Amino acid sequence: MKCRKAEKLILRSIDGSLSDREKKELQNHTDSCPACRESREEYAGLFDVLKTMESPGPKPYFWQRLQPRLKERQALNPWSIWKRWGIRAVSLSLLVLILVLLFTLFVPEGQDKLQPSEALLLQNTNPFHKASNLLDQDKTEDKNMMLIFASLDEEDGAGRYFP
Amino acid sequence: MNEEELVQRSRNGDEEAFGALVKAFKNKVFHLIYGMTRNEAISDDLAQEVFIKAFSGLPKFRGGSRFGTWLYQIAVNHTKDFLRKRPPLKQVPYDEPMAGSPILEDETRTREADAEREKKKRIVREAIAGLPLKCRLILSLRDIQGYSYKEISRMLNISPGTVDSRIHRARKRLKERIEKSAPHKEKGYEMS
Repeated sequence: MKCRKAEKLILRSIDGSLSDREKKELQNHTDSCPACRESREEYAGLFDVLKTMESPGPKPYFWQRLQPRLKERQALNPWSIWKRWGIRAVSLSLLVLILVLLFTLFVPEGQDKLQPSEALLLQNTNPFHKASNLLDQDKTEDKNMMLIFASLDEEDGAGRYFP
Repeated sequence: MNEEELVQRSRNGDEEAFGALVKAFKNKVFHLIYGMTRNEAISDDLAQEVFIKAFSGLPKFRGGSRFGTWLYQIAVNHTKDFLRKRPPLKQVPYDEPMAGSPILEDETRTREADAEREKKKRIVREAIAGLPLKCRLILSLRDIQGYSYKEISRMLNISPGTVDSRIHRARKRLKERIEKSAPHKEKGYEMS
């Protein structure tokens, strides 16, 4: 075995991943090669030191410290703002639109009461027609009689006087 | 509840489910970051930022990979960005006790053997600090924190074969670096 391969096996031996055959081969080589034997001892010493070097973990209350930061970020996140409010706004608008459509489609049109002026316009009649008849009379008696009957007409709906 | 369900619920804004994911992954994320920064306080802060990023990015996570793999990628990229933007960190080395801690008080009363062990640790720490980021990270994960090849492969999103070759290269470089530190040898430094 060459020293190069022996070094690879030494490195793998640290992980304990050598087969029995490889272990034997390495042992045979290190028995006959002082440089590789020394290298093996150095690696073993190095990894003994590395094993004792414990690394720290996260500080306590990691999640408790993280929660307020998450909430803060969520409040600023456009996606979460959209998720919280945008979708609600869109669905509410759609609902209102649907209700308006349903109302216009299914509710019958109400019979609106016309204003007197609107009624006259629709009847296409001249509101001064009665007055013009009255004014057209030559005789004063007739005018007076027409005025009397017109007043009666307004009060109790009696017949009109036409000379 | 399995990981997939927790991810699904977290995606819908369930903080409790996300809390369970944080509990499951916080140590690994921290160790990954610590392997790169070697500063406890900064690693803790960066780990928090990684989880915030992950929570915000969950709607984009389609489950193409496992949640852990995706999370570790965020951690590695976030830490790399941090190291690029910031000036070199004051690296608090592995297991170096903080001033005023009970460990330090104990160590003032340490025996000669302990002092020798500490000296060896210091030498190794210095050698690790001088290694490139990739070597430092993989050594930290495998030889200090003891993660398996499979776990490292998932954490760094590389094949187990690549993990194997990187670890061997890193170990070799570490040994070479220690050997090159001649002053230590002259002072009688011996690893074994």
